[in-house]
Amino acid sequence: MIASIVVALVYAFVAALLLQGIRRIVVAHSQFRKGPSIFQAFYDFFKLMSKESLTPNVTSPLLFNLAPILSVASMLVAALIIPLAASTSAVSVGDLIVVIYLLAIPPIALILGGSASGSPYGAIGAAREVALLIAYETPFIVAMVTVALAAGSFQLNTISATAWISVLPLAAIAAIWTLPAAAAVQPFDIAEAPTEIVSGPYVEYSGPNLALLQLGQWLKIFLYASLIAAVFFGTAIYHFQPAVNFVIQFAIIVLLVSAFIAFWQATSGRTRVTRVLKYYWTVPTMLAIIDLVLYLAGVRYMHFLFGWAGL
Amino acid sequence: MADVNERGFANLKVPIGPSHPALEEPARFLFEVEGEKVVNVDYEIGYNHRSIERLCQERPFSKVVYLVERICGICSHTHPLNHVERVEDIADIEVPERAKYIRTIYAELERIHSHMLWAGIAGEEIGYHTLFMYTWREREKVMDLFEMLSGNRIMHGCNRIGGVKWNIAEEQAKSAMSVLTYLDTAADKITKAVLKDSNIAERGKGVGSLSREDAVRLGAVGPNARASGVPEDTRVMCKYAAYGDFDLEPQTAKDGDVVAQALVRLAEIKQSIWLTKELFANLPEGPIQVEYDEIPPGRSVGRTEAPRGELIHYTETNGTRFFERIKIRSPTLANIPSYVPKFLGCQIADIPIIAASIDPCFSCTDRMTVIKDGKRKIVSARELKTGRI
Repeated sequence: MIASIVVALVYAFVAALLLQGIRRIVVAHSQFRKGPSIFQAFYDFFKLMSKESLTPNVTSPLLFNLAPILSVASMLVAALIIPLAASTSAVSVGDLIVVIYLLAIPPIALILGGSASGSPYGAIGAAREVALLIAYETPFIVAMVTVALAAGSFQLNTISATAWISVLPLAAIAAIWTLPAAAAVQPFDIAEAPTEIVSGPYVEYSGPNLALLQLGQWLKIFLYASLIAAVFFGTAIYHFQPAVNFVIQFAIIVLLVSAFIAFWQATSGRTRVTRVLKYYWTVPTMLAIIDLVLYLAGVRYMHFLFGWAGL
Repeated sequence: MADVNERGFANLKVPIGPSHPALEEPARFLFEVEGEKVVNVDYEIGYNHRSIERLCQERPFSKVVYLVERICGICSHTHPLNHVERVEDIADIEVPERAKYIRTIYAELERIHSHMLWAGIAGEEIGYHTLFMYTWREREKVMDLFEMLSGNRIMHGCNRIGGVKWNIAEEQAKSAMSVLTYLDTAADKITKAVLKDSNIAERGKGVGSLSREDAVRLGAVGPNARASGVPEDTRVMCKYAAYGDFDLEPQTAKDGDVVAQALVRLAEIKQSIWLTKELFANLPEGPIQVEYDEIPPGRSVGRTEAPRGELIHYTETNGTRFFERIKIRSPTLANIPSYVPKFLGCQIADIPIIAASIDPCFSCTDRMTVIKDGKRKIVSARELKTGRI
């Protein structure tokens, strides 16, 4: 058990940072650039860890310094619950509900840290982060609850025994659609927006605190994509030998991140806060609700269309 | 406006600048915001005073041309062009036709690369990095063209009193033509992207709009005024250099918002490419420079169309090797007052793109700072008139 915990944590750390390198290279290539090294996130992380952390003269130093730790700690717990390379979680406690809550903690840490930083940019960034969080959480939660209802369980081990994209494709689309907002890249980097509010909540952070805050965000992108992979591509991943599982799962995550985060980032500018709510509460939420209603009404449309009722 | 709004809450004051990622150069804006809405704005310039006008009086004529060239890294041709035209006006120097055409070629190439630079920065301000990368890649072609023509990408050193320094060879004109043809298709692509992209439409339509009345009242110049429908173009009005030989139409748009600004500038890129091709094709034969004896005392004021708008130079000579006075009014100074109607009522998210939309160049603008008792002071118009500062 200890061994599997260590393996899961190390894997999550390495994969999350590697994923950032891959994302940056994909973005660079679509902008006619060469881009940084694939290990750039590692360099950045270790460089920041070796520096001094400054605490500004703020309203709440405790909250300010706690936020980065909270962010990373919650993500490490989530890494143990979400089935990564192995078909089961590293620990036997926790389920989908816990994971959804844990995935919301890095944004909340940003909100806390931004508000506590005493900077007007941090305050505006925190307000924007709230809007972003409620915008993308809505379709994501509806999609996840639909899957849980269909699986008859909130246990991720049970859910990932089926590739739910073949049963509930609309819910899968809705969940995947929330990836760019969860990753907080263009067009949804509204909370950071370097040209507008100077990176918002990050503005007063430096050194290890900044490194941890960023690590939390990077881990969140990786775990968010892993959760979608585990829930919607379940059996497609956990069908084979562990080594093969690992390769397939990482390939799916890289594909998701390249196609839905890096590609969007490269082909759009930053949107406005008001637009984000409108954007996520219309089409993606509708898709998820349609799947939920159809499932509850007993309509198995994929079965009618293709003769499938789940793999 | 009061610090407390009608619901009794104090408005948040957001300082932007003097050093801020949204600004390439130092200027200070203080925005009063209610939620995300800007309700009041104050601006302050003067962080980049370089004493250029004074330095111009301490150098002999031949060196001032190079100093004037260094006022701005982007308008590095139109400043010396205006300057040498003033001196030629005072000394009654007749510039050869070929020199006039070469000057105009540089001026138009400068407009092309400046407007492309603007399009890239506007993209960057709304977080659209790909647009930035794309337009700057195409702009690089113009810089290469400059390097081929003058040996330098930015400081061309082309103008001198009585003509130009660099002649244009037959092969140079030929390869320039092919580059211009390529740029024409690139400009079409950028225009299509600006017109069709929903992201740009969302961030640009109705953002930072300036009515025609405000543009006239606040004395906006250049693309900023033309985007609001004021058909004002110094190239057409003054017909300096070789502009008298060609029939130019001021490019205008109606709305005065960011998209209108972009469309005016993109139309001007197309127009400049056409004009540069015409200039290369009709380049007259003859010398590129005439000799001159000495500069008599006199004064001259004149205007040229910089990429950012109307540029005014006032030059006074006193019969020695030095200038009595040089006064420069750069286009950004005329455009800054139009910031206020543009900013009022906008969202915080729109501040960078509106700030960039007039294509500001603060270091060209700053002429004077008054420091009294160690405190900077803002001088009112009345104090300036009465001379009691």
